[in-house]
Amino acid sequence: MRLLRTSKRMAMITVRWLLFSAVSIVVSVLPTTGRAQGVAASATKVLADRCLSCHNTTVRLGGLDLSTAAGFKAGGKHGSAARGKAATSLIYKRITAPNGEQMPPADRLTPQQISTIKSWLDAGAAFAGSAPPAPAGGASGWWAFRKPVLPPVPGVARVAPVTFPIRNPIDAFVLAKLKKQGLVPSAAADRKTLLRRVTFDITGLPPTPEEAVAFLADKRPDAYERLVDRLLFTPAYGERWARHWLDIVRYADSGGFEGDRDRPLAFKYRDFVVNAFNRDMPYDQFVKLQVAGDEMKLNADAAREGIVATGFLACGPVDIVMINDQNRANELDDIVSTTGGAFLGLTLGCARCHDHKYDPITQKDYYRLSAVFAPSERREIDVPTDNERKAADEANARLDTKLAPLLAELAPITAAATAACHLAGLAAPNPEQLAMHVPTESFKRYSELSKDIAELEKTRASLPKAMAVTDRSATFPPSHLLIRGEASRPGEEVKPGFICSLPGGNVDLGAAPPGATSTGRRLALADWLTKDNPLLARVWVNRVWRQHFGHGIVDTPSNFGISGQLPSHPELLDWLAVTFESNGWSTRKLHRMILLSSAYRQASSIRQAPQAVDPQNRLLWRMPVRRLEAEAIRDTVLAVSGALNRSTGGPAVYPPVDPTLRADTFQGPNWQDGEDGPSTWRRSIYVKVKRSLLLPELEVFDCPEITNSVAARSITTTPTQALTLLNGPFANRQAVLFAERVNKEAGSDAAAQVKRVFSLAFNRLPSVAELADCRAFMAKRGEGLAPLTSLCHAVLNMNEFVYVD
Amino acid sequence: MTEDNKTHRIIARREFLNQAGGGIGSLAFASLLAGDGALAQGEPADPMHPRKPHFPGKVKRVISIFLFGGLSQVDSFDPKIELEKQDGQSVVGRKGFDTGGRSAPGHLMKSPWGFKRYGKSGLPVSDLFPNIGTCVDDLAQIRSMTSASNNHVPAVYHMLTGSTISGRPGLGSWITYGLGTENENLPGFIVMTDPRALVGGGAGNWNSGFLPASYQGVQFRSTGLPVLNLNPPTGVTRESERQELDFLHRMNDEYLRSHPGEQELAARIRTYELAYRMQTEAAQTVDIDKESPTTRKMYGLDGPETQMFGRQCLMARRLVERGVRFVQLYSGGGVFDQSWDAHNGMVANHTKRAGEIDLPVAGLLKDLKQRGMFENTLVVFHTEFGRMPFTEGSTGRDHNPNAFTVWLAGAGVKGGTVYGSSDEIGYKAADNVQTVYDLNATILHLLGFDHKKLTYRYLGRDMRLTDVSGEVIRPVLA
Repeated sequence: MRLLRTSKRMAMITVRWLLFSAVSIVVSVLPTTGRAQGVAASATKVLADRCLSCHNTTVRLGGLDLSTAAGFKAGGKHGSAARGKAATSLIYKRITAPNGEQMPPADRLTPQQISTIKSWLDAGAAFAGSAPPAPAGGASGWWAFRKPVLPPVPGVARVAPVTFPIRNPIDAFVLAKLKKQGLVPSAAADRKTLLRRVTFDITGLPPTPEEAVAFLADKRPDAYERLVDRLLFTPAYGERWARHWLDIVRYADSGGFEGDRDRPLAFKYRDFVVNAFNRDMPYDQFVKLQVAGDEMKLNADAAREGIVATGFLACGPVDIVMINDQNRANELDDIVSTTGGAFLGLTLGCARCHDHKYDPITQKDYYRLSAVFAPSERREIDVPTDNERKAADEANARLDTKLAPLLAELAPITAAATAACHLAGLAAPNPEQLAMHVPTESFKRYSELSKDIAELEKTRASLPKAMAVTDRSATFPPSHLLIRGEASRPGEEVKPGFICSLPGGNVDLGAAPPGATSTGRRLALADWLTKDNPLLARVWVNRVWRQHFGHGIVDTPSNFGISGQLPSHPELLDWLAVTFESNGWSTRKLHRMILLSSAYRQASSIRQAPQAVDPQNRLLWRMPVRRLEAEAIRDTVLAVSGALNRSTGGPAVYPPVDPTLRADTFQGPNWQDGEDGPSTWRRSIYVKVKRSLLLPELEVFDCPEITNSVAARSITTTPTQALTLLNGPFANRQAVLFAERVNKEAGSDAAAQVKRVFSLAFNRLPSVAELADCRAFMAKRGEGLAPLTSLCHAVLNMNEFVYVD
Repeated sequence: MTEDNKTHRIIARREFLNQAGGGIGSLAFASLLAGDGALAQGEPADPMHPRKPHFPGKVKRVISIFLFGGLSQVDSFDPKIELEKQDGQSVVGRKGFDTGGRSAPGHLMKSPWGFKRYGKSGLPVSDLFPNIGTCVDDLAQIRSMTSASNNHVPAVYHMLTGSTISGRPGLGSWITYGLGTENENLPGFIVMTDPRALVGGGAGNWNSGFLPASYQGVQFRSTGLPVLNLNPPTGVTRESERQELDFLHRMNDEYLRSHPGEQELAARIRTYELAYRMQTEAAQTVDIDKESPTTRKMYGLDGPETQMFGRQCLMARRLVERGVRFVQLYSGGGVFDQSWDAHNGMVANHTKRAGEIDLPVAGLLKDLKQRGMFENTLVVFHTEFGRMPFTEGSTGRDHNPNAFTVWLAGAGVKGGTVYGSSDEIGYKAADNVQTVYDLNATILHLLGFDHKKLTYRYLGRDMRLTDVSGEVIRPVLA
C-alpha cells in the first residue's frame, strides 16, 4: 500500500516536471520578432523598476530571482513565474491579485504596466537580451535604501508671503509643497506662544514668569534666536530629549518577566544618554558607542563611557527563570529588532521566521545580524574614573597596612590549627573544622582577630560598576539560521554580516585579529551603520522632526520599509539628512535649524480651507496643538508649585504609590516608597522605570510599559487621567505647595494671587472676565489658604495647563 | 437595573449624544467602521463609543474567571480511570515522557478527590467543585487545551494576550477596541485581582499594548474604592467638587473658544464629566449592600472563605449588568500557595483555593441565568496551564502545559458538552488539540467578530489577537 502511494506520487511529480519542461521549451523556442523585442524590453523595464528590488540574485525573497531568464523560469518556492499564457502564469496572478495579496505589496502596478507584462507573457515571455538591467542604486530601488543626495532647494523665496519669510531651506520645501496644493501657511504665532512652545519643546518645562518678562521685553531682532540658543544649552534639554531616546531603546530599571528584578545599575546608561544630548555628541558617535563602545579604541574617560553606552544592548527585558536556547534566541531577537527599528527604521523582527513579507530583507540577513550579537553577554563591569580607581587603591592600601599586623598574629595560630586538623585526618579543613582545632589557649585571641579582620574587610573599597555588554571571547562557534525562529531547529550555517540589500551590507565578517579579546563583530556593524548608510541620518532627523511637529515626515518613525508610510516631503527629508551629516551629525544644529524656521513658528489656529484639504496637517499649514507628555505634565506641576528638585543624574527615585499597587515578589517588594518630599520631587526621567509597575501619574498619561521599542507614544484622553489630577494625592499635595508659593510671592491680595498663578502656570495675566470669575470662585472656597489652593488645584486641571499651542 | 440607574444612564446617553453631535468625531468614526468590517486605525473622538461587530454576535459582555497558578485538570474536570489503576507507578524511562517542569518526576498519582456525575448530561466533576458541578449542563468544557509555555508569567500572557511576551493587548482590550462600551459612566474593561497578591505579569495582562490606552483594563478593587483616585480627598464634598468642575469648565470653554475646532480639547472636557459621573456610578456598583440576602447567600458572601471571591463575582454581575463590556476576575496571585501553584501538596492547596471560588462561581452562573443575562453574557473559566499526573515531591504536582481544561458558559454556548480529550492519564492533549488561539477565535466569534479581521496595524503588520492561527471551536457552540 505504502509503496503504491509512493510510486503514484513519483508519477505525479514526473508529470509536473514534464509540464514545466514543456513550458521552458516553449519559452526558449519562440522566435523573437522585432515587435516582440519591443514588448520584451518594456516588460523587463517594468520588472527592473518594480520587482527586482526584492527578487534579484542577492535578495531572493520567496526564493525568486527575476533578474535572469534562468531565475525567471526556475521560479520561487511557489513554482515557476510563467506557465504558458498570462492567465495561467503565477506572476500575472500575483500582480493582479486582490488588494492585500498583490505584488508588489505597497504600490500596485499601473494598468499600463500590467498590460505590458500580460502581452509579454502571452507572447512567450522572452527576455530582451540576456537579462533585464540591474536595478538602480545597488541592490534596491526602494527610496529609503538609496543614499540620500542633497536635493536642490525650491526657488520660492520671491513668492513667499510676507507672513512666512523663507528663513532657511526648510521653509522653501514646506512652502513649495503647500503651494502645489494651493494652500497658504500660517503666520507666525505671537511671542508669548512661541516662548511657551519652544521652551516646552526643548526643556519639557514651562518658562518662568521672569523668563517670560525678559523675552517679551527683548526688542532685539534676534531675540528669538538668542532664546533658542540659550535653551539648547540648558541641562533640562538633555533630560527632555533623552527620555525620547529611552522610549526608542526600551529602557527600564528592571528586567521584566517573572519577578521583574531590579537593575540598580541601569541608570548609568540613562545618564549617559542625558549627557550625550547635553554635550551634543555627534549622532554617529552616539550610535557607535551604544553598539560597540566596548570594542572601540578609546582613551580612558571615553572608554568608560563606551562601556556604559552598551547599556543599550543590555536594557531589554530578559527571562532569568528559564535559561535555555530559545530564551537566548528571544533575547537576541530583542536586540536585532531594537537595533533595526531604532537606527535603521526597519522591521527586522519580521524576518525572524521567514523572509520579510514586504522589504528586501531575507531571513538569512536576520540571522547574519543576529550572529553579530551572539557572542556578547550582559555583565556588570567596573567603570571607575582614574580618580576613583586611585582613591580605591589608596584606601585599600591603607586597609592592607592596618590588616598586616593582625594577619601576622593570626598566621601561627592558623598554622597550629591546620596541623591539628591534619593529625585528625582532615587534609583540607573548612573554616568550621579549623576553628574546632585551634589550641584552647589561643582560641580567645583567634576569635578576636578573626572578628576584627572580617570587620575591616567590610570596608574594602569596591569600584563603580555599570550594566553593560561585552563579548565572551574573540572566537565564537558558528551560528545558524533558525527554522521558524525555533532554537531547537537550526538550519544552514550563517556568517555574521549585515543586510545584503543595503549598500555595503553583503559582507561576511571574518575572524578577529590575533590577540583580540572580542570578536569585533559589533564594531564592524557600528562602522557599517554610520558610514554611507542611507537610513541612519534619515531615520534620526525624522524622529527629531516628529518630536517638534507632532508628525514625522515619515509618520512611521521606526518603519522606513515598504509597509511604512511614504514621506510627505521626501526632498526635505533628504535635504535634512544630508545637511545633518555635513554638519558633523550635530543634533543641536538640527534642532536650531528646525526651531528657527518659519514653518515651526506658525500659529496653531485651525483655518477652514486647509483643514478641508489636509485635515491631518501633513503639509504643515499650521503648528498642531499638542498635549504635554506624561513626564512633562508631572514636571510642570512640580515646576509651578516650586517643588521641583533640579538635581541631576544618579540612581532612580521612588515617589510614593498607592499601597494597593505594591506586592511582594521573589525579589522582595516591587516598589520602595520614597518620601513625598524633595528627594522624589525630581524630574520624571529620574523616576524608577519598573516594567511591571509604572508610576501611576505617568502611566495614566500614556507613558508606555516598555517591552519593545516605542517609536511613537499614543496620546489618549481618559477619565482616569481626570481622576488622577482631580483626586490623586500628588496633584492635591502640589496644589497646596503651589498655593503656599503664590501666597509667599504675591501676598494675601486675591487679585495679586490670581495674577501670579496665571503668570506661573500660563505665562500670561488673566483677562478681566477671568480675574472676576477666579475671584468669584475663590470667594466660595472657604477661609485661609483654601481659596487659593482651590484655584491652584483647578489650574493644574485646566486644558491650558496640559496643551501647548 | 434599578430605576435610579436607568434614569442616570438615559441622561448620560443624552448628554453624550448632544456633545458628540456637536463634533464630527464619533460620526466620522462610525463611518470608518463601514466597509469590510475592519476597524479604523487610530483614536476616534470617543474611543468607547458603542459600535457593531462584523456580524450579529450572541454575546454582548464577557466575564473572565482566571485561576492563576495552574488548575489541575485531572483533579477537577478531567477524571482519569487509568490514573487510578496506575497510581504509584513510576514514569521514569517511559516512552514519550519528559517531565516538562523543573522538578524530577515522581510516581503517577490518582486524584485525591472523587468525581460525581451531575445534571442531565451526567458529566463528572470532582468533589473540589460540588457547586459548579450542579451547573455542568451549562458548561462547554474543552479538555484538550495546551499552552506555549511552562512558566507562569509567559503562560499567563499567552493565555490572555496570545503572546508569551508582555506588551500585547489582552482579550479585554481587543473586545473593547472592537465594540466600545455600553455605559459611558464606567470603563469598558474592568479587572479585579486577588486582593492578597497580584497575578504574575501584573498589569501586563490587561494593558492595551499597542492599542490606544483607552482600551486598557481599569483595575477595580472588590473592597473599598473600586478605582485609584476615584473619590475626592477627605473633606471635599460633592457640591464643592461640582463647584470646582463648573469653574473648570468655564475656563476650559473659554480656552476652547480661542481654539475653535480642536476636537481633543472638547474630548478632554468630556472626560472630566465622565470622571465625575464615574464617582457615583462606580461607587454604586461597588455598593452591594442593597443586594437581597438570598443573592448574597448565593455568592457566599456570608462565608469567611467564600466572601472575598463572592464579592468579586457579584460585582462582576453588577458591572456587566450596567453595560461594562469585559470583566476579568483573578483567583490567586503571588507565588506557590498564594495561587493554584500546588507544587507542595495538592490537597491543601486546591482544597483551599477551590473552597474559595466554587460557591461564588456557581452563584454567578445561576444568578446570570435567573436574571436572563445568560442570553447575552459569556463566562470564560480558564487558567495558564494544567498540572502533571505524577507527583512532585511526595504530594504536589508540577506544571503541565500539554493538557488542561477550560470551560465556557452562557450565550451561544452548547451547555453540557465536552470537546477534545487528553490521553489516558491526562499527560498530553490527545484528540482535537486546542490552543489559546482557537479559544480566543471562538470567544471573538461569539461576540460577532471574524478573528482574522479584528486587526490593528502595528510595526508594519495587521496585528491580531490570534496572531497567525486560530480556528473557531464550532462543536462548543449552540
